[in-house]
Amino acid sequence: MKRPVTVADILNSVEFELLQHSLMQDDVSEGIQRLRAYQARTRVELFGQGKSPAFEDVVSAQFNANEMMMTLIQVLNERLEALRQEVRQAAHLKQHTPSTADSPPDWGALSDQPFGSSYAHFYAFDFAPAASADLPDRTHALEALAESLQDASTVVEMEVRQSHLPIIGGLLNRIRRALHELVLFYTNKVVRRQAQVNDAYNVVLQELVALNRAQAQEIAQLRWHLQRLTAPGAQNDQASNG
Amino acid sequence: MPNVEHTFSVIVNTTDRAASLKILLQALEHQSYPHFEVIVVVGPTRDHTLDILKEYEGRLRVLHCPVANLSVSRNIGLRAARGEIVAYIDDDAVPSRNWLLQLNRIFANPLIAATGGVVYLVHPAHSAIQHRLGIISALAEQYDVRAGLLDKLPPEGLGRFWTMRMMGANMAYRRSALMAIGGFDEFYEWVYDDSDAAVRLASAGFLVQPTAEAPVYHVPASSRNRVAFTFQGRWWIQTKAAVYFSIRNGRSLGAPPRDILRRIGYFVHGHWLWNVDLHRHKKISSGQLLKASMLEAKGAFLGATNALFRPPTLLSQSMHHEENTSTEPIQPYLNQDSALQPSVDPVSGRRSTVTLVDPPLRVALLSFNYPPERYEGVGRHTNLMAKGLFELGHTVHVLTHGKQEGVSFYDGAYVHRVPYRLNRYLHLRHLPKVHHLLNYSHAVHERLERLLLNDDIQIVDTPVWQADGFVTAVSGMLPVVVRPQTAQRQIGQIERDFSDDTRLVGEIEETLLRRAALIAANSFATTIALQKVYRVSDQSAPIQIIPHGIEAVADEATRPFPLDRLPAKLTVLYVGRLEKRKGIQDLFTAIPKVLRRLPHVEFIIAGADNSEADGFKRKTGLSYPAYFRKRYPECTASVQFLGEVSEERLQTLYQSCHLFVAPSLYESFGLIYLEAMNYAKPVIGCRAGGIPEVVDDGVTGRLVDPESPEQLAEAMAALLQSPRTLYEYGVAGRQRLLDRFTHIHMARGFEQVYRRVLAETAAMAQSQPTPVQKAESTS
Repeated sequence: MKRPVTVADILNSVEFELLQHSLMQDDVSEGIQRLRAYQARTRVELFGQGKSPAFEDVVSAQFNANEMMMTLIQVLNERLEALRQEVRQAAHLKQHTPSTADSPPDWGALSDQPFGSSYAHFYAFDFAPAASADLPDRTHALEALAESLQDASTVVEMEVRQSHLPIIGGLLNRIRRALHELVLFYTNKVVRRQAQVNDAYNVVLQELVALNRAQAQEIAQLRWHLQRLTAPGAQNDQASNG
Repeated sequence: MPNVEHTFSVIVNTTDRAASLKILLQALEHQSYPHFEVIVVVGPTRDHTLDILKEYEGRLRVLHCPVANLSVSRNIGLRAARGEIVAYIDDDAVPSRNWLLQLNRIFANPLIAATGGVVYLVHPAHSAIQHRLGIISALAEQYDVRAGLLDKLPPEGLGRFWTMRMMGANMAYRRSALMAIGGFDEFYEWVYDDSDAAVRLASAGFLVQPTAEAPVYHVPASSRNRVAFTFQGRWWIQTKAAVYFSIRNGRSLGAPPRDILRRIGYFVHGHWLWNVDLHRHKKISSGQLLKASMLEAKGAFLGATNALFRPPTLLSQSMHHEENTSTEPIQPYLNQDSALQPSVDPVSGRRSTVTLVDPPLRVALLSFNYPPERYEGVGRHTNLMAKGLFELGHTVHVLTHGKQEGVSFYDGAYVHRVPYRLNRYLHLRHLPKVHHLLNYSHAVHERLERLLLNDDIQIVDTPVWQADGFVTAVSGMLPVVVRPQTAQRQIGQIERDFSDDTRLVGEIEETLLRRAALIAANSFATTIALQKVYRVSDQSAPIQIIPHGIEAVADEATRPFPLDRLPAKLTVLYVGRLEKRKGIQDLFTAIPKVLRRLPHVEFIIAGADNSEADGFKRKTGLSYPAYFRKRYPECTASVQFLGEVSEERLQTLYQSCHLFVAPSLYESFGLIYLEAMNYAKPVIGCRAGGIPEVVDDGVTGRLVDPESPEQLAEAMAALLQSPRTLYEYGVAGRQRLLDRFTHIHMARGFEQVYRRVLAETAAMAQSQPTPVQKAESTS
């Protein structure tokens, strides 16, 4: 039989939503998806069948992609700053609240992947399940982005329309080919550079998300501690234990 | 990022808007960030702007602009600015309290050259967000309002060069960066000056990054270019500016000529179509249409020729160097009196005349319904609180439900409309009341977070009804004061609704009360009800009694019983829903008894029939009015059932009656008695709930036992037979209201409560040892 909802369940939901709110990555996730779609669409438009792309079109598309990535990084950075503040507040509260005798459950097994060595200090706390709820979305989005970047053509191929005019046709084809080669030389240079920039962005995004995840878990852990400490009876337990 | 405190020059460009300018200067006194000067650049003015500015002599600098050209005026301010950052605000806008603080935070990033915040349009009917995180292309395609930084990316349009932009009403620049690009192009006499500066900054490699915070509230005032909230304006100037903008920026940023031409065509043709539409709807005459069309063509021609054949009018390099040598410090605008300045209403310009001893409070009041849309119950009480607190000089923000986000001003308070979607707590959607309550409460919490950040609110006040402040109380973000009224748990008990949904709403209400920093009960009876219904006592949360108050009408509007000329017909008024709890059945039983003794009496019954909800119709098959007519046919000529009436009509009814009667079986307070006492009317009520705390038996009216129609009839008949008693009770009631129950008395009560809570919160925070103290004590 299904257990009826209690006000304690509602309070937990509110706590969860408040935590989610500070971590909510919906728009970031959506932004990454949008960037991926844009990449795919642009790739088809620029390098698909039809006319070869104009140099300005390639550069313009790259600037748009840059703009989107920079915005994503900016948003993630702001989130990170907000999280840092919350961590500080929670740590401060924890520091100024007496600890209870019972220790938190070991959530470590719920970790889906290890963190880089630079975040090793986050292992000081166990994991709480609430914080990890939205992480898979972000991870998937980021993986999709990485995949999209790997797929992206880093070289623009030449496609020259052949002229079949008598006598001057061959000459025209050679001139066209020479001009196209010149344009493609510069275009490919920019495209390769952009590919490097994209990779760099991807690395930054990966790091930010990993850091974000680690801090989320730390916050969840601190919240858990706080809840235990402020729960009715905690003081009594402590007194009896002491 | 380092915590840098920049110096700001706030530049206000004004022409003939003395009233708006005065409001802005008053509002600037409330800025939380102190390091700023104010420069007012006055155009060719014809009103009393200079008289207003005389009042601020020694606190701000006044410069003069010889022409009515916004960009020239902006450049004059820029040249004279001594701050590292120049912040522009329109003369018909007021900033949020943390406006400069937030801008300063943005400029802590040394790469950012320009930023600007949100602009809320305060409109009498259609308040909305006017500008947030806008973007624009070199061809003047723009998205002014975006949900977030990622919205509208990639931008859609012909333009290849896009940049974020700010609105002139709220923008700030690193002075050195703006000087480096030559300030504002003086061709733009109105509009597009802000966008042009953003495009030129971005194309010169500077970072332009607006923020979704730091709002200003824009109350559009008329100017020489347009009449506010009408179609009258010199719109061709916009076309001139847009054409100039597109050609100049489009060409310099590599837009193909065909795209530039398409944009020009769009501006001219678009404005022409708009004019034709106005003409079709008879908003402008044929002559005006012709004139407007010619002016549009002229604007396009002027814009194009100036962009093609003349260089831009920017600040000269010599001027740049000359001004850069200025090292004079800024002259701070704020002085020692600024902290004690009362809040100002940006629409009416009203502000309290009370001399403040302590700095004014910044309070957020919550109410799902609020006037003028919904004028009832909690909304009405909240409105009176807001009005009273504003009249005491405090800054009041009211958060209420709305279909779209926006800010308006009502009775001196900022009214924030909070829309909400049912996109959270999805696992609780099988409990509709709980689901709605939590989602709305969460939306309110998010808005409160923004208000804390930008307007520095100190305390939140929420009713128990709808539990608007529940999520905020759980979060612990701000101290929450709770006002208990009749709530869901009580209604559930009365209506015998024992569903999970209602039970949980009751538990949410109880949790809200337990988490309150203080409970502000309206009567002693309410504190007893709290104990009985919610098991909440003074031990669980401090409780303070603050009686309701209403706005006293002017003495001329009161109509005590006329002793000199007795009326031929006496009127007894009942106001309230027609339901058992309001004692309507007792009144029905009493009416025939009174009419038998006093046939010249007329009864007026105003209020909606609630026979279905309280089960009366199920039992009898009749509504209350129908029941009365059937049961007492001989009395129907003397009893009028008006149903629900408008607020204006209600006031007229109170004013014109001779005796007010409401035999409620329970009222937590009894606001209706105060409404009647306001017009010097004697009242009859029951000895139940908070009614005896309002009605002084034998002085301002009579009290009878609940569910006692005989006593009720006797009291009515006795009073109606004694004109002098009617007069004396009425006058005494009015005096009692003036002495104890006005909205100002109520606001003073809340003011004391808020200060007490804030003091306790501050003391609690201080009692927590700092990390350093903790380290010292452990070592």
